[in-house]
Amino acid sequence: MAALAHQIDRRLSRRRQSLWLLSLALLVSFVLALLLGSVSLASLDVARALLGLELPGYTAQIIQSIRLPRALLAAGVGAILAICGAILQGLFRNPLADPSLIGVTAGASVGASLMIVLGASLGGALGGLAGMSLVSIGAFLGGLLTVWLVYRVATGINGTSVATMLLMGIAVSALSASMTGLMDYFADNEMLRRMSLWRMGGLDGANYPRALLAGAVLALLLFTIPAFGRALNTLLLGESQARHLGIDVERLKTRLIVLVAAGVGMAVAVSGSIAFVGLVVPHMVRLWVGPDHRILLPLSALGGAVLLLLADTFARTALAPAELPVGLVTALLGAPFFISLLRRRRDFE
Amino acid sequence: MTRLLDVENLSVRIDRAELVNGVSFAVEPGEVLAIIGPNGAGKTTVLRAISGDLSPSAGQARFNGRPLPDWSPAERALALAVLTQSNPLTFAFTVAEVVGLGRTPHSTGVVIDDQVCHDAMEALDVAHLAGRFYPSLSGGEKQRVQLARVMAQIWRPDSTADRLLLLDEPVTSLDLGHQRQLMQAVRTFADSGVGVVMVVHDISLAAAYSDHLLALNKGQRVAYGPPEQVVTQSLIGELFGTEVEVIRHPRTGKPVVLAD
Repeated sequence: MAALAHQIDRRLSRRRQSLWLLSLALLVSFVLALLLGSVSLASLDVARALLGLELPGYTAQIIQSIRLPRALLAAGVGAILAICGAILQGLFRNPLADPSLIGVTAGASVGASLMIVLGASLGGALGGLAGMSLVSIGAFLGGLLTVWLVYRVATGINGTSVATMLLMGIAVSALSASMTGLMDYFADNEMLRRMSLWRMGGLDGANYPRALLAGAVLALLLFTIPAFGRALNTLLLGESQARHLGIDVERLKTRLIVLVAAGVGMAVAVSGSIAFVGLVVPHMVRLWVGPDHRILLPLSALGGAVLLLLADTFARTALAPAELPVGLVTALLGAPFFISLLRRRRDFE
Repeated sequence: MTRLLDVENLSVRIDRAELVNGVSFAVEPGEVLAIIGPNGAGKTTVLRAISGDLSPSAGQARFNGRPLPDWSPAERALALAVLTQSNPLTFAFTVAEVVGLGRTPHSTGVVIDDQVCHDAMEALDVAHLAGRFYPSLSGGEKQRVQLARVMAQIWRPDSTADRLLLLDEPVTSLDLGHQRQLMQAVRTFADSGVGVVMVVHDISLAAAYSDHLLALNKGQRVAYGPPEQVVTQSLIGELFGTEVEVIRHPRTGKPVVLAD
């Protein structure tokens, strides 16, 4: 009993500690994202610009219309991707599930491209929040279809087959590539330009409408977490085990799949495909505080926001004034991590 | 008085294969029923049909007098717990956390839940593992932890319904000492007013700890009654297609099966 109490105490204190540390890290990385860039700014100026005070030169504009929305978007998208990764890993009962690896991101991209093409041919104005929402809906539907498909194929009564899951990711990504290729082929110049600009994505298209959209979806995810944490924990035991613990498993799965599709779809719509955040962050948080989703999901949100803020700041400053796509930075970080996970897979299978 | 579990003419068909055909039995509170039979006899299928993982093609199972499909999942989980054959948990929960998941259906508060989990872990001799990570345990230890979780789920009578425990091969990967200990824990648990239905391969073990045995073969009931009636040389020999001797245990007087 003493050992038990000790162990539980240790996990509890680790949770409190990690919550504080990650909150602090979020604050620091957010400030860094505002301070650093191709033009270096004094911290006092940044504070004054945030307060809306007059400043000489373009400092106020740089902060207010470039760096602030971009930092908000990076934090929002990072948090969303990490939460979605954590949810997917719980749903698949497998710590290797990630939106980009299993094809959800690719599926969402097809949906978004299709909307751009359709939107253009309908003659609709694709600017501003309305156009963004339309693309988001397309990405959402594409993502939804993909998660559902991968889940149906890869998951049987004895859990999810990792091999099938990853192979489905390859298949879906290939299919998506050919479909976007097909759309490129039939698109006219204007659409082509729009699509390729959008596909390059990254966070450089950040503006307040996009940040607002990301914030809204993030709020949706954060509000639903308390309802799903416990149920997701029982799902780790297995589907029928969860059912025997009184969970309505089919309804739970449907809701989780819709949430993930909404999250990933929105992230893809506002920032293109950013890989590995959904894999790396929940994994590290799990190593730190254990697999309990009630704490894993909110901490992943914090961790994802920190990671993408830092990655984006690095992407903006490493080769300034040129910019690296942020997806490149996260992949550079995530791919070796994923390989090391694959090597150690025996440990948790 | 309504029975705890009343199974009438239960049949289960999957892809035209008749896995279980017209099986009937009943369980009262405090009773242990063991289902025996050769591989593929339909033992697990019966259990899964009762637990709601499979739906019967004919017949029905009534739990506390009400047909099982009429129970909502949340309501049923307060009084019916199930230990399945495979438990695919690979995430690094501690043993205490795994057992704690058994309290998911309840809202009895942390203090009661902790006490229940502790008692269940003591009963199955896993309390000393409480802080260990589940994936690092041996097969037998995992099995006992899972049983502790399932028993913690219905440890106290938290709803007005009588409680029922379904166990699919609970002792398969255990050593001799822990087999006995687990069966004794199940027996003690049953004596507190819980009905138990379990699939067991070791007939002597089943006979020693059960009130009734149900013998299945090819999806049909071939015998049903107290161990002394079911465990006979001719019946067991025919059921498993091999020569056996049945003797009495010198101390308990329970039937013991010896194969040549």
